[in-house]
Amino acid sequence: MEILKNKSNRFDAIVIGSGMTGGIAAKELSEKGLKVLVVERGREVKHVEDYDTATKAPWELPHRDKLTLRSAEERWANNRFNNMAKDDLEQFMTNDKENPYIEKRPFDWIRAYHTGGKSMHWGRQSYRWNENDFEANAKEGIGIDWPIRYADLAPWYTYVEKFVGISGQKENWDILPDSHFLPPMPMNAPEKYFKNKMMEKMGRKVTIGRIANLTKPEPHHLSLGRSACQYRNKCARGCPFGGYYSSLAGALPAADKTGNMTIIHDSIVQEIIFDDQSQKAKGIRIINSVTSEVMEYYSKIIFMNAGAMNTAAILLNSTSNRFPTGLGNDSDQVGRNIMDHQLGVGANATIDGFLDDYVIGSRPNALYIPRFRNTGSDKAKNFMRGYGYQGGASRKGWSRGNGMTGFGADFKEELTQPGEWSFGFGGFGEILPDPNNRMFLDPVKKDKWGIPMIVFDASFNDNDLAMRQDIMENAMEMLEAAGFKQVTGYNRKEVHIGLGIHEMGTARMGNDPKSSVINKFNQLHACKNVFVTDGAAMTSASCVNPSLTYMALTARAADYAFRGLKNREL
Amino acid sequence: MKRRIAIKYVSSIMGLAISGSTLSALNRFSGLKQSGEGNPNHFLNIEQYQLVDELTEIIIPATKTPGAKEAKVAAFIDLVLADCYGEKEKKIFTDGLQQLMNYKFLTHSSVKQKEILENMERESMITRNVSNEMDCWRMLKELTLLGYFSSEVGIKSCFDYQPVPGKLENVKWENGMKMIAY
Repeated sequence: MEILKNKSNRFDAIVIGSGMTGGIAAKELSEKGLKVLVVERGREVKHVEDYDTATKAPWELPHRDKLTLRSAEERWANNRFNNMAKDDLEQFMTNDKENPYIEKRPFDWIRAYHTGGKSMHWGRQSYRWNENDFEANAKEGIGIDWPIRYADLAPWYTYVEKFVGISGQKENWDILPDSHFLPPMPMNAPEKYFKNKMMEKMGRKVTIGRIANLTKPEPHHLSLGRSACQYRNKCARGCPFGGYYSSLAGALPAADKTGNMTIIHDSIVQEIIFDDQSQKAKGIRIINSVTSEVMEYYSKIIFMNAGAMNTAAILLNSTSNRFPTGLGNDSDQVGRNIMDHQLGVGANATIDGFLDDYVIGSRPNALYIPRFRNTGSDKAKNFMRGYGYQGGASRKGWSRGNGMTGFGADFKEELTQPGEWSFGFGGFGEILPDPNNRMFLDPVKKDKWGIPMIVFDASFNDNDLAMRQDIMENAMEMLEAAGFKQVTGYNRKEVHIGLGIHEMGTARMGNDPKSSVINKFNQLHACKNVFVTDGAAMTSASCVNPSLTYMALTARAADYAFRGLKNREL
Repeated sequence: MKRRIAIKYVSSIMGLAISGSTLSALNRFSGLKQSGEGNPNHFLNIEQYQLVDELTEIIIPATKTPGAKEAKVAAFIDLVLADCYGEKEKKIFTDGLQQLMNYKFLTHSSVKQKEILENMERESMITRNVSNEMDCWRMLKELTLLGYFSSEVGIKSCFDYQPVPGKLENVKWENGMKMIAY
C-alpha cells in the first residue's frame, strides 16, 4: 500500500461526489476562486461523447424494450425501478452484484456510479418547498424542527433556478411557490379539459410539470454549450443537446471553465481523516477501484455530496478517538431517519373523445397536481402530511394491440393509427422521519475494497400505508370526476422505501447537536469544516421532488463556507 | 453486417460487458441474409424457427407495408428468447410451438391456420383472466408486435420517424397523417 503525500494532493476544498449536489458545490467553490478536487467513485462519463445510446434508434438496441437475464441478475436492485437497466441504460446503472448491500428490511437502492451520478438520469421535476414544509415538524411535533425557514432558502432557489433552467407556469399558489421560470411546456387537449374539471368539480389545482428542460435557453445556458430541448424524451440516456440539466451538462462544465477544478474518477472515499490537534477534518483517504491504490488528499474544507446513503456511510466509517462511532455522530443520528417519497401508487383511465387531437413531439414532462391533503380545511382521517400527483394524457400507440384480440392485415393497419387517449397519474407522498428507519455499517462483512457493507433496516410505517391507500382512492375519484372511463387504481405491493430515488435524512440538519448532525449552514456540529449538502441534510421530506432544494442548500452552504474561509473562521 | 462490425457495434452499446449469448446472437445476425432461410439461431431449432417465422407473418402480414418476415421479427424473437427469458417461459413457448407442430400447422390452408390461431388466442384470453401465467400465444403476439413496430422496416414504413422533433405542438389529426415514432 502506497500513500502518496505531496503538494499536488492539497486543495482548498474537496467535494465528494460529482452528481446533483457535488456539481453545484464544485461550481460554486471553484467560481469563488478556490482550488477544488472533485472525487467521483464511478467511471468517467464525458458529456455528449459518452452518451453511447442517446441517438440510437429503437432497432439499434438489440433487445429493444426487453430486459436481459444478465442485467436482471447483475443490476438486481436497479431493475426494481421498472426494469431500468435495459440496453439503453444498462451501462450507466451500477452493477449491484459487484456493489452489493445488505437488506435487513428491503430497501430499493437505485444507483448510478459515474460522472454526474443520478443527475444524468433524474426525472427533472423541480419544485420549491413551501413555507409550511419547513415549519410542519415543529408545529406537529414530528422529528425535530428545521433550523431554517423558506425565507432563508428563497434567494438560493432563485439563484440555482436561473443557472439550471426550470420550465414552468407561474401560478401564485402558496402551496407550490413559483420558481424563476423558462416558458412552460403546453398541456395537450384532454389535459386542459382535466385541469378545468378538477377546479370546477373538486377545487383542486393542476399545473404543467416544472421541469429542468430548456424550453427557451438563456445566453448563459448557451455559453455552456447547452441548447433547447428537442422533445425526443430520451433524457435518461444523456442529452446530446444539453437540453436538460445534469451535473454533466451544467455545473461541471461551469466549474471546469474556472480552471480551478480537478476531478478524479474510480476513487472510492474510505474515510475522512480527522485531525485531533486542530479538531478539524484534514482530508480524505481514497481507494482506487481499478488499481486498489490508496491515496490521501488534503483540503481546508470538505463537501459531502455522495448521495444520502454513501455520505452517511463515509461518516460512519470515519472513526477516530474523538468520534468512535463515526465522524460527527455524537447524536447517533447518522444513518437514521431515512426518508424517501411514496411511489408506485395511482390510477389510470381511458378517455372518450378528443380523437382529432394529436401532438407533435414527445414531451419529457407531465402534469403536476399539488398537495391538497391536510392543507387548509382538509383533514385526512388516518394519516399526516400529504402527496402530489404526476401524470397526464397520451394517445395509445401500437402496444395497445397486446390487450386486443385479433391479428392479420386489418389488425396491423389499425395499430398504425392512433388509439384512444389514456390518462394516468401516480402519487409522490411525504414520508415522516423515523429514527428506526436507518442504515448502518455491517460490523463484519466488507465489500471487495475492504470497506464495511451498508445494511438497510427501514420500511413504510402505518402513516405511509394509510397514505398510499388514499393516494390510490383519490386518484380514482378524480379520474371519475373528470368523466373518464375504465378507471383502475393500483398500489404496487412490491414497492419498498427507496424506490422514489429521493433518499434523504441520514445526517439531518437541526439546531441541537444532541438530536441532529449538521447545523443550519450544513456544517457538522462538531467538525465545522465538513459540510453535508446532499439529501442526507434533510430534516423532513415534503412531498415535492427534492433535487432543487438540495441544490439551493448546496449553493447557500458554499457561499457560507467561502466567507468562513475568507474570515479565517474555518 | 460483418462479424467485426457487429462486435464493435454491440460493444459500443453495452460498454464493457458483452454476454456470450448476445455476442453469438449478433454473430448469427451477421450470417442471416433474410428471415426464414435456415437456422441462424441458437435457441430455436430449424423447425421451430421456421414455424415462428410463419406465425409472425400471419400476425403482421405484408400489406401495403412490409410484414414481419421482412422486418426479421423471428430473429428478434429468437434473440430475446435466448437472452431475456428464463427456462420456465422458454418451455412454455416451445411447448406451444410443439402443439402447433402436432397439428401439422404449416401444412394447413391459411383459413385453417387462422382458425387454429384464433382458438389459441381464445384460450390465452381465458388463461389471462384467471391467472397471470404467460402462455405461448401471448408471448408470440407481444414479441411480434414489439419486434415489428420497433424494427427499422416497421417504423419507417408504418410511422413518421422523427428522432429529433425539435418542437412540441398540439395539432389536429387529419386523415392521411401518420403517427409519429421517436
